[in-house]
Amino acid sequence: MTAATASASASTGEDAALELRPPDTVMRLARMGSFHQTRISFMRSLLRRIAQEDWRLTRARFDLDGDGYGTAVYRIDLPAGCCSLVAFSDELSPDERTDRVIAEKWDATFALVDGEPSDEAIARLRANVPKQEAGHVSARELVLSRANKSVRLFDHVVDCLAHGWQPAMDDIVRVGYLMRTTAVYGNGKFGLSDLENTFAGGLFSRPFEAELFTVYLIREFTLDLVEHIAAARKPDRAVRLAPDRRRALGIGNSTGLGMAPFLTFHPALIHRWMSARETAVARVLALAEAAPEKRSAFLALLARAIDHVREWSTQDARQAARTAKLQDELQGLHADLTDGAADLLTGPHPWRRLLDKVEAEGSLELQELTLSLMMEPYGELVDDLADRMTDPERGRLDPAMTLAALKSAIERNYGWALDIDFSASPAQHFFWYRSAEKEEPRLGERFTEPGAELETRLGVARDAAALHRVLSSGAWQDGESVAAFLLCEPQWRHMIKRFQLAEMTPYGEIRDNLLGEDCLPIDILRCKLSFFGAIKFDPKSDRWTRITMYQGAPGFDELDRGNADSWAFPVFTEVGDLHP
Amino acid sequence: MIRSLNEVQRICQKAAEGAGAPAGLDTDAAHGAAWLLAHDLPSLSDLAEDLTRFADLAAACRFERGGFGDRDQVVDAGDKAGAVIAPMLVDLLVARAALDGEPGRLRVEGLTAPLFLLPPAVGYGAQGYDDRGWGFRLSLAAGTERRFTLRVAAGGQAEILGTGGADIAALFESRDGWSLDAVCARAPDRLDSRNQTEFNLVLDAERLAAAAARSLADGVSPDPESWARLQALAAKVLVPATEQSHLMGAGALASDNE
Repeated sequence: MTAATASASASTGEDAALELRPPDTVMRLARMGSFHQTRISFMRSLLRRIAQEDWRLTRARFDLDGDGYGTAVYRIDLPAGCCSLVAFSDELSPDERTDRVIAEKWDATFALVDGEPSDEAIARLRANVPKQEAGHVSARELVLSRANKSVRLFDHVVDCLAHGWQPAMDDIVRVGYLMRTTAVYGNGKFGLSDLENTFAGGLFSRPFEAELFTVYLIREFTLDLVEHIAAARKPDRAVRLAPDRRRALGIGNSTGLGMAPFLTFHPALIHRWMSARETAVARVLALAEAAPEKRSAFLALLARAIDHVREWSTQDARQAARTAKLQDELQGLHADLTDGAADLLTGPHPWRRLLDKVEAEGSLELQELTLSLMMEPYGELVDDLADRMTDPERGRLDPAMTLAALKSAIERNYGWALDIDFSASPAQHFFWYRSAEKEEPRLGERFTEPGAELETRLGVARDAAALHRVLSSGAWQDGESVAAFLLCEPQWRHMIKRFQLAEMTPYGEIRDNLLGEDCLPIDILRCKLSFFGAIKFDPKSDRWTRITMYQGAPGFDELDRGNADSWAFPVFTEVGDLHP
Repeated sequence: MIRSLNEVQRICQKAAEGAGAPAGLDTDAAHGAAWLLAHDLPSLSDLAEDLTRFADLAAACRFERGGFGDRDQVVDAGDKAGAVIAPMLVDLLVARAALDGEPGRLRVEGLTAPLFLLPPAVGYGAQGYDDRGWGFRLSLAAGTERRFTLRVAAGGQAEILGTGGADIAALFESRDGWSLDAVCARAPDRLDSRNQTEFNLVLDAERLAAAAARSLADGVSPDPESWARLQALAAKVLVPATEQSHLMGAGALASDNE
């Protein structure tokens, strides 16, 4: 099966004729580590859904003292039912505040609950939710989360509001959030509702939708919280946050290696995400011409992206250099498209020609950002793909497949792995493992750190090469079945399922060696977080990053169909504190 | 304590991995255990037992080579971990049917934890690897008194039948091993049911489905002793944190009060 036909097999109807970028191009770490959010990223599609279905939010309870400590409940009514965010805000001393996985206390903890919780349920949650992993919840709860204050900005914003003025936009933008989450759990963790049950409930149906809705509600809570504390402090002078300040405040997050194995452990799901994204790209690239209003919209977004990237601040040397280069490239591209190469967008197949241009001249950051920008004017063409990104099925074995067919499948889909020399130590430099510290995924150096014998199953490239050697050794006959082989060699079961699945899910596999010395886990994190819709990646090492979520997004009370997609590549004008 | 099915599956997978089960069989055993528990069929005790009773679990999940293409071959599972190897036996049954175009047949002796055959059979029944369902008749006997049939229809509906005096509890009792006479086919009429007239319905598809729906909505209550055994095995997959790894995790080297 060629890449093009394999990709098309996951598509339907007219999409079958589309020419998708091949997996060998897309599924490389360097490119995946350059992804940006798109229209079909989960936060984007969620806000569209909220606006389209006119979800309603009610602050059902707000029992917080003057310092902001206590309990709040937000009830949200959807067409299919209702759910509630239960928030517990607690006092936390500075020496207890840590984003690390070892933390046992947080400034605020949250549960997203199916329906509206009774007083009894809230009491039960109060006893468990603040403990997070050490507590236990029930199948009525869909999501569990916690967040810590960005202390400096939080206190500054409260102080400003209490004195009756608005905090400076540049102070807000420099940090970007009042709180940052350090975990957002779903899918049955610690007794939560299983994903299948959550989906069966009818409120949520897309990947991480309940989790990201929780984050959106946490943002609402943090904004209400600063206003509440300010009002309690200076009842006569305090003001509310101005709408532009509210929009500029998102939610921060520290994301580490815990996200990295997810992409490898869910190949069918990742194929869905990637093929939806690539189908969206291909639909735009296939357009024979661009209408004037689409060209204008694109150029306006391109100009906005230049400012957005200028506001993208990071201390990480690698990302800072990439961001600086991207800014230059975007300015050059904008100049080209409005001057020298102005006819590029007015001629035939403009988006294909534009992609050809940036592929020939630009960095991976530019290429991927351009694709994101190209999708923006075409909501009617791509937004439906957000509903094609779920895959609840587990991998199934084809037990009757012959070993010859299996070997051919490995050669077709893992040729990139068969060329790697795994006898050389750089190819097996790393091993991935689960730490005894709350079972957090970690990365160790195989030849200097203990624990390699307990490594988790991310050595896909190495195992593909090893199984291929076994099948090529002559020890087994080509016509024997996988079932017979596995009775005697059961250790290959996991990988054989994977290799069979790859025949149908060509975008399911990262086509790089995750054990290799040159593997940068930050690339995997960036890819996954871009699908979430995160922006302003701020790597703190090659193993974890801070991000901002929902920065620029309309708040719940102002969200509607007209602005649900207005916040892509947000830009915030720098002005000083607004004194009355 | 009430647990989600995902919690059950995760602890079982890690326990099987920690005990030394081959990669892939650990996930299938975990899926099987969670599936059975969700359907009110206690499974964790059998799994914990199979994961701990062998000095070399990996060896207890592996067969000597030869004869698996022979339809008359009797597979000896007497020294194997039945809860873990069950998916491989169902695979072989399906492969024989798929390759021959005739109903697949399989005879096994000394099989422990036979209910673990049910989840993979239901998987193939609901939607086989080729998106077409298979039907199964899995006849079990332990001596002359205890006889059961696990039936799975193409579509995935399962039911359990037993001889007149057989109580379903008997399915969890025999550690001596069961004889299995299994048939697999696409068409229901190819699943011949010779000598089935004396069997009564013990658990019908409707009751099983109702139990699964209840478990999904409300969670399940694993028995504490088995849960503790599985937790102890699961801990074996964890690597003690080193200072170096700690310093490179999320949030490290950043001010938490900024």
